[in-house]
Amino acid sequence: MYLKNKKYLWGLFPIFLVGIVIAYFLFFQRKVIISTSSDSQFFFQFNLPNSLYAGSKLSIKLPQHTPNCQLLLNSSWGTWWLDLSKNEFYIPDSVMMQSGLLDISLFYNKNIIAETQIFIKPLQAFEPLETFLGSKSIIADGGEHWSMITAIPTDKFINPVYENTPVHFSFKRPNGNSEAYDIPTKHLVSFKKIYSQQKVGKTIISMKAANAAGKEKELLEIPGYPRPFNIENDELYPYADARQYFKLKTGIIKDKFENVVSNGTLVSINIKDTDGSYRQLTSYTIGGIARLMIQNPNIAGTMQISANIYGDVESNQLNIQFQETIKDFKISYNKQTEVLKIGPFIGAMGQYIADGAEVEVVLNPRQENLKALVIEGYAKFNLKQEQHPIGEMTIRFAGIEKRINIQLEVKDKNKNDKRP
Amino acid sequence: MIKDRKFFKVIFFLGIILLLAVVTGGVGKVLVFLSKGGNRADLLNIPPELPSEYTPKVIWLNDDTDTGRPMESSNRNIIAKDYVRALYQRNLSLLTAKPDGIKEYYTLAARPKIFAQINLVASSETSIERAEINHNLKLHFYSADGQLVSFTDRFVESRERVKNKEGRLLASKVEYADFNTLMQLDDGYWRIKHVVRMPPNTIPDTLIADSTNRKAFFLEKLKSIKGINYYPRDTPWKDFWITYNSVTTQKDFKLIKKLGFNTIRIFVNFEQFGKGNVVPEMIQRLENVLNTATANNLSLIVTLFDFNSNYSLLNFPATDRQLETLLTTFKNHPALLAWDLKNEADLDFFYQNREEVKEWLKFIIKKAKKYDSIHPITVGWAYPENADYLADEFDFVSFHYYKEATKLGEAIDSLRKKVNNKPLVLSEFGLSSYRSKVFPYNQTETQQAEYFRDIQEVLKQKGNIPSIYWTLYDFTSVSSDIAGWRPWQRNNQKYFGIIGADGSLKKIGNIIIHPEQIIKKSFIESFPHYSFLYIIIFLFLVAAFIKRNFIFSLFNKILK
Repeated sequence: MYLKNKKYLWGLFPIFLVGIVIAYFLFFQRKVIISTSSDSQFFFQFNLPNSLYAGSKLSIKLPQHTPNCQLLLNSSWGTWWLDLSKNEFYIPDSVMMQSGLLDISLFYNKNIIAETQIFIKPLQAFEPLETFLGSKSIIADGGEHWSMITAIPTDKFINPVYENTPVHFSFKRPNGNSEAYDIPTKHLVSFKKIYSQQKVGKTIISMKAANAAGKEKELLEIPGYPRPFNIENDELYPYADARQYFKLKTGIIKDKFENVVSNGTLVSINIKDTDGSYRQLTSYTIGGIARLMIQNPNIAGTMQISANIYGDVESNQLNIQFQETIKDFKISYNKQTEVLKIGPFIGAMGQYIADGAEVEVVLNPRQENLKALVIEGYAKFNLKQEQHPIGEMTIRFAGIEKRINIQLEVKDKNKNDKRP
Repeated sequence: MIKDRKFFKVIFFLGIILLLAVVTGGVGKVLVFLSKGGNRADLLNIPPELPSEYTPKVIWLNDDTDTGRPMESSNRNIIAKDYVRALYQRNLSLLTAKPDGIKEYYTLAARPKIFAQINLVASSETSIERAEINHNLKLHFYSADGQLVSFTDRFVESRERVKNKEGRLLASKVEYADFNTLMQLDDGYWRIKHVVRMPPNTIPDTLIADSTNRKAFFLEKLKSIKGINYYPRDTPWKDFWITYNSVTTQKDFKLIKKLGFNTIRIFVNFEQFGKGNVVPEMIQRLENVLNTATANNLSLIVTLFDFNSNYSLLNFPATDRQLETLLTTFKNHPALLAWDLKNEADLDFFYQNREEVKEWLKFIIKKAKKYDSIHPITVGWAYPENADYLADEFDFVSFHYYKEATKLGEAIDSLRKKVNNKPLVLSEFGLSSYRSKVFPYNQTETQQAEYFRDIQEVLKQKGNIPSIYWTLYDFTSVSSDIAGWRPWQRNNQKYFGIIGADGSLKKIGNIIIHPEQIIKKSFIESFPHYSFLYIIIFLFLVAAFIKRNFIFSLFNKILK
């Protein structure tokens, strides 16, 4: 009856679950077993040379019927693991090409059964010889600054060569002298300090190790810190006409070893103008000389000029006197044309002053500025166009100030308004 | 037919719920990923710094007299860092057989020499683990423009392991060598240009070996210890150091003193202490523990490298750094009694590669003796059967025992034979008073107290072997990564204490304070708790069997 009704099997399910839990608990606990094993070893000894040249072939011969062994190599650059499938085995070229101490260990079943060391010697220096120059430029200050030339001679497998391999350095100095040195390599490099001399120019450097030559290197010796210098003026027209230019020129700027400073050395020029204002101008040296064109001032007086480099190296101070370009001028007013005519402006040598000088008229009541250019000795103001009453006015030109009072006829403003 | 439909209905609904869960979870993951955003530092494309896991010791020896140009200390650090990083990259490439990253750390001419090795590794279907443990750099040359540097890395300890694709160890080796190295500043990075391996020049060891007298003092002290393993009640294992509370420590140490113990065994978590770069806060916390012990006139056995089961060679330098930091910092601390270098290292024999564990142990013992030659060192083995391993290296043999007290005598005898009269310490023993209501575990407090007394009896018979009980407290919570996910194992771990989770002294406590007391057994205690559950289940099943027709009709009603 129960077998027909299979539902009763559900009733066994919880019991089944409990059974699993108990079984798991009883049987699935971790058991602790420690076993020790010892492996049989076979006897083998390496019979290899103590040293070899890089790139040589090295074979390892094992006795006949030896079990499968492995080689562990420790070279300069790392670790190599090789399976020895044959009785005679060549160590890979990539290992044999590395100079330095090579450890060879023969492993059988996790145990080292034989060990040996071979020193792999580097070959002769091979081209190109790698050279490094730094700094690329130094100041020619008589040995205070120095640069360094370094050579790293390597063999054809790019291994550093033996210690004490001589490297030949030769220098051609700016003063025409030649120098030559043989410096042995030490700790993979051979280096020479190059001390500056007093003459500016290029030092050409060549290096050679064995038969391997290196690239030509250039060391630039540059001028040092400038020394105080002179400034002078040239082509001066000493009148404050605000038109002509004069030349300002430095002497040849040199360092303490009489080397002309590099082209493009920045020279700052400080000017105190005749009106008391200051300005700074700059110029660059070419061939040690900096030049600058400066416009004449418009007011008579003394212009003070001095120059410096890096705000530190000072020049002398130059004082330039500028005289008045005109002494006086006349003013006339034509009532018909309503034109204010100022002039003639007569220069220091009795000539009309150059066209284009600026005359300033200030209309005093309104503090309004009018400007006109001098053309052929005269400056003209057409006051007709000004639609405002004019009274007292001030006229300024080249530091001279004049006041006049012109009463213009005031036009009847209503005239225009009363047009039909 | 109808039954089938019902069945599929249930399956369908369950399936829909599962699908929704998966989709929601997946979309959530995507949203999290998208909202994270990039790291701004990535824009700079800076090659990775030296990882915190790889910390070989770097020492700069005295420079040569003429190095071309004097070395700046900042550049010295950069060069050392890039050098170590380059070797690490080579080691990583040997491990993974991939050339990625090599070009960042080696100049053009040097790269083929690394690639050849990587190709060999790739073609031979092996992987090579390699790690340099120390670097002693002696500067020879530093070019005027700061672009070239030549130094010798002296007496480098390199360790290698060769494994096949299944991870089986094929070979392992330790080698010492000097390396003449030339590095070049290239694209703003110091890259290795030349390396020449040379025979090693030993560096005179400045450590004084005359420490036997002081060690003997500690070994003498070890004979009279009455110890207890310690974790706080609420923050055992992994919570101890990160939520360290000095007030709790003070309170507990006072209590330990009151219970009559004179030694405490504590555990230092390798990862939480910052691996190779030990976190200063953690050192302070450990110092606080030691100071608290001093204040209470207690000695400490410090167990190191807890929860470290990474025996890869790449982890060797980090363990070495942590060992050096802790041992050199605390070797003069008055509270320190001994160093336990690894807790239950033999357990890792089963979960990890046994050869690798053994290699690491040998390595760390050697280093520990170098850093602290005063204090005794040991490893607390989980089973006395394994405790003879490396016994000659240790100052005393330490083992744990959780099996029947009657068999302890045998275990000690057989161990004694193997270890040639090295002093023995039973550094962990105990019995859980876990009475499960479900699983067939029924160890009463009485049994626990009896177990303690029995073990003490055996130890006395075998020549007063010092012992350290596990542990002070019943823990309020034990995370599953300590004791396994099985609830009966996890709960079992909670009840080893002398003091209950509620703070009351258990029976074992009374025995510890008054050893001569007679242990009383109660009659009810002899009934296991779980038996009640199974009686109820049995009764229920019987009832269900009798009323089966009614239950089935009830099921049918519900399903309809």
